[in-house]
Amino acid sequence: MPDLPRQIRLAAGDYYMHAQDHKRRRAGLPGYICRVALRLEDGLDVDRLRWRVETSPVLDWLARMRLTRPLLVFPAFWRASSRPGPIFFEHNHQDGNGHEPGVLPPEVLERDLHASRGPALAFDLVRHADGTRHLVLSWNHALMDARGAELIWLHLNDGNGGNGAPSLEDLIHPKQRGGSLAEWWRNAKLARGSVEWLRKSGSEPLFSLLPEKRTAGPHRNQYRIVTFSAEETARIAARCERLNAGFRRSHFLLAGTLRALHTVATRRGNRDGAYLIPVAHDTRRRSAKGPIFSNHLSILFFRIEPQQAGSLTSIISELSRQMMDQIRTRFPESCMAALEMFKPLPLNYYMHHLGQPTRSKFATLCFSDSGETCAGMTEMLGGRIRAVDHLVPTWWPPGLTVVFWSFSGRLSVLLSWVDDCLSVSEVDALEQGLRSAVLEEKVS
Amino acid sequence: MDSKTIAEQLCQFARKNYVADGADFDENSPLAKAGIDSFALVELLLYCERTFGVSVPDSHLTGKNLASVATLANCIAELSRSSDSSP
Repeated sequence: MPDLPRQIRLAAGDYYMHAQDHKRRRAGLPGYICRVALRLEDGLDVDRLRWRVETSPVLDWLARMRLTRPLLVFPAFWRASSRPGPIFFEHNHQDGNGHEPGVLPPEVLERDLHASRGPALAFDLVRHADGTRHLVLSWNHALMDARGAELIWLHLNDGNGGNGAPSLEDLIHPKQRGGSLAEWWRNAKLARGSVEWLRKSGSEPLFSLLPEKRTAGPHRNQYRIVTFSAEETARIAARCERLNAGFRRSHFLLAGTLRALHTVATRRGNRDGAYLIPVAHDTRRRSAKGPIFSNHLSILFFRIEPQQAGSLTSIISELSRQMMDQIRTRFPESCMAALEMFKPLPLNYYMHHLGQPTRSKFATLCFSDSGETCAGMTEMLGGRIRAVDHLVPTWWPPGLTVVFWSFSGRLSVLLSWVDDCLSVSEVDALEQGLRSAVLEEKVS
Repeated sequence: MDSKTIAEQLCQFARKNYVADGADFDENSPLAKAGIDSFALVELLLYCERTFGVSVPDSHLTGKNLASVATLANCIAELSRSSDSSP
């Protein structure tokens, strides 16, 4: 592997995620630390795993990266620290087992990873009393996105004894190694469209789950994972086809989520508050092996009026129309150009600018559909993978994030919320409404 | 405009924008496996609008028409013929 750079530019998405991390911490929540947990049967070669983690030049480099801003007048950048710090931890856990999602010890679930202090990623191997294991990769979202984490699993699981290490191009996007001032002017021109669009679509009334007055903390980010059986997943796929949304599975799942949320919102008395939803898209090519490092995303924003939110078919057709309009007007490029342009701003100004169009509400919920996760992986260094779980904290605001993914022919969904934004009975209603929206034929 | 020419151009567009370098992809490859998700599908449809002057209505976005580049090209060729023949 060639020499890895010691200093590198931030991608626009990195600074955005760093700002989300900052916002969460300011609201008294843990940082924006994502986790992917593999539930493993017995058979994992722990010595090989430990050796791979400790000797991988890619992981060593990632563990050294620190988000740095020595002076406020200069933009933040990534710099390699001379001390990577430990990233592999082992635990023996008596209470849980590898058959259930989310049964992880607090030292794993509450591990704090700071992009500035580093290391911004960690592996936790949890041995349960029954011989099953959880292998958890946790990372600060400023360091990389979920696809980057998936590529790390593939790198660790590579059967070539480390010879299959990613190339420099697979680790870092070439654009991040260069950069010019002329780009800033190009971005300024391109960004105008998205800023105007957001101002228009963020107009009041907007439905928000945030309490009008925050109750005394501490507040917690709660997680609930709902897994559909293989039979249910097949039914969902068939229903998606019948609604002519086979290629627009994300729209179908978002429509189901919105329909369920609309029920909760109506119970809260929402009459005219629209639902605003940012949806991030991975900009890498399918089956590309990189880049691992940084956030490579573009964003689409959807606004659904409450009059449309009662019917799956009308939500799907509205989402398709808005997506077509946004891509036609190059909204995703414009949005990323805006983020690139605002990147040199100090964090508080940056958040103030981004929050302006929606008067700091940002969105009603965050949504993502990762599609097939860890595609083609059936085992991790000898341990059969029973399931993969994503634990993604929610942005605050809006206080609710919904993430879908599939593994081994089974669809799962994560509901991630802050406890003062939704009550447990509302989350129950959301789960029930979501299940019936995606599964039941009588729900239109 | 024949469907073969359309298929060739669509393949070129998909290779340039979605398919990873070195991955096998031709007009008969399943679209879903070539990296065509909802986002890419919209870009592909907008490319059809710009290049061939054909808008594909929602009702034509069926599993059958979106099975591969070849089936999508057939659908576009047919839509183009019907719009040419209409008064």
